[in-house]
Amino acid sequence: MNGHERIDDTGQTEQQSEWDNLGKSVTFGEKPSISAETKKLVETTFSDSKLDDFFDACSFDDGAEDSDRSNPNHYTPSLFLSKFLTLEEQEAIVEARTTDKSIPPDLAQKLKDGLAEIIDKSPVKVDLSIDPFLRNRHIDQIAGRDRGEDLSNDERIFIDIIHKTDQRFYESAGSILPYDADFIQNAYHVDNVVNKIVSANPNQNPEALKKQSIDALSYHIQNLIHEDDISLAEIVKDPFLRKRHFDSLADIGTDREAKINPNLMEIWGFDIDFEDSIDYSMGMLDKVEQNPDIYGNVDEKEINQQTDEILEKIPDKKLAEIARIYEKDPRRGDQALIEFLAPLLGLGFNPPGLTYGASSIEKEKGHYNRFKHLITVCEDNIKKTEEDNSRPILGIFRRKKPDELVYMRMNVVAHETWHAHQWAGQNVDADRRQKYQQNFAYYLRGTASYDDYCSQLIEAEAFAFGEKLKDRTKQIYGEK
Amino acid sequence: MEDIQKYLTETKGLRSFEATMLMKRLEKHADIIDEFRSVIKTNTVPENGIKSGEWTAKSLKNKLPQLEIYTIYEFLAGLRDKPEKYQKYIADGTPYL
Repeated sequence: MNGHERIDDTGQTEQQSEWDNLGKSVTFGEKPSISAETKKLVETTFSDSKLDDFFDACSFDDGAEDSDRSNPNHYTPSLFLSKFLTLEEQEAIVEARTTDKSIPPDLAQKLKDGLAEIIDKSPVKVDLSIDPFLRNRHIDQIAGRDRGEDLSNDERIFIDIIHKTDQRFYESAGSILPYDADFIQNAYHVDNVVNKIVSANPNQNPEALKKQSIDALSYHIQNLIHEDDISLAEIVKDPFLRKRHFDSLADIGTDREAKINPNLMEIWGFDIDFEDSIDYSMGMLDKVEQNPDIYGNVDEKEINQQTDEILEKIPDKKLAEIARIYEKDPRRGDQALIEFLAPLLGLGFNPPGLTYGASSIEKEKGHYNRFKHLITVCEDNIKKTEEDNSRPILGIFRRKKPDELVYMRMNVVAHETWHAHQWAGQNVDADRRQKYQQNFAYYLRGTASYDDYCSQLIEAEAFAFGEKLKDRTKQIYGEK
Repeated sequence: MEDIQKYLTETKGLRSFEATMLMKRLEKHADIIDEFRSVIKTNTVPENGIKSGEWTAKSLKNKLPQLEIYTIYEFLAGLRDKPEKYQKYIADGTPYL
């Protein structure tokens, strides 16, 4: 389907090649180097003494352990520091500070680099100005505002940096962002979004930028549909979405079908329910058959290596600490686990948000929405499964372990955070990133064969990571 | 097999390729196909149906009530073709994540 023309819904023709590149312009969070401007900003903001104070402000025990952490967005300063310092490094700094010494120069530099990284290398350049939830959450967390604390000067300085970062996010708004799709979902103002992107990037070729943005948006629209975040009826009503969506389906369809009937698009029309009238099964089956390394025959050794690399970076002590938080307050445990895993998985200062609710799929226990960068934990479904697993089998009652819900929940959260990592594409080589893209575009839903669903690359990885993290935690407690 | 394919796409709302992929898993097992066809017609899962290892459609449905009936029959086929993998799915409670 390369290079041939098709008729669009206005009767005009357009080059198919535009669609050959669908989604390719989506940037998976490639890291730029830290800019000189940011380095200077951090250096001038944090003199050695201010850095000492900043560390102290972040690492002190705020006493909120039992009293003020019901808020799932509660921010734990030690988790913040763990984003860019190892435990040993944190301990070294604490030791220096308890003896009233300054932070060792090499660690001070690392701390500054970490701060610069937060500002410059956020893997998903979320337009915080669009999303008030994320913006407020970030700022509240940094400020400790949700703990009702007075701000220290250093925390205020840090908020200023975040505000400056906001501005930078705003300047880069749109062109690659999952949030664009979210914005469209709410407003349908495609032109406004694209124009905003173009006007915010005056130094770039406007036509190229526009095309790139629209391609990225189209890519996300497909996924919105897949996630049931947007209904077919809504798409059909909107000329832009309608055209993009049905043209995209032509891509999912096959050369074979297109060649058999060159007027396929006309036959489809735009006011019919594609589920009833379009059979793109052969396209999907071809994809599955042609890519066994993505569907069904994934390289388990590679998956094990990848997931083990991450797990090896998690100290037992930290995992036990998070499990203890879970036991006290599961929701705060979810938050702590996400905050802890995010930097390890290349999500830096932009951990996924967290929410709770029912799933549109009754049996679903968790979900990651890439457009909202949001993990949903379906607490009721998790509890239900735990109850099912505790049912009598052949007259024998299985022992209901008190911690089983915690383990299951940690598994779910780790699984979904891994999906966030896949979408961010950080610390992933080009080959794997390409496989991810392929799998994202041609995703096997869990509504059909369970084994096909679990065995596709992106799910196989996430399942492996969640399971292993759960097993590690069990081992720590001597349960496995 | 067409009747089952039709049931999967028209009644259960599976996409055509999903139904095809599912059928590929069942097609080797004539007894599983026969029982599944009967269940579609009668809308009743037999008390003492065909077995895969220790499991019947009924016992699987009791254990994993969240599963669709066609997934139950996928499991019966899977328990024969890939027993370890499917036993693990059952033990894990078949999470959808």
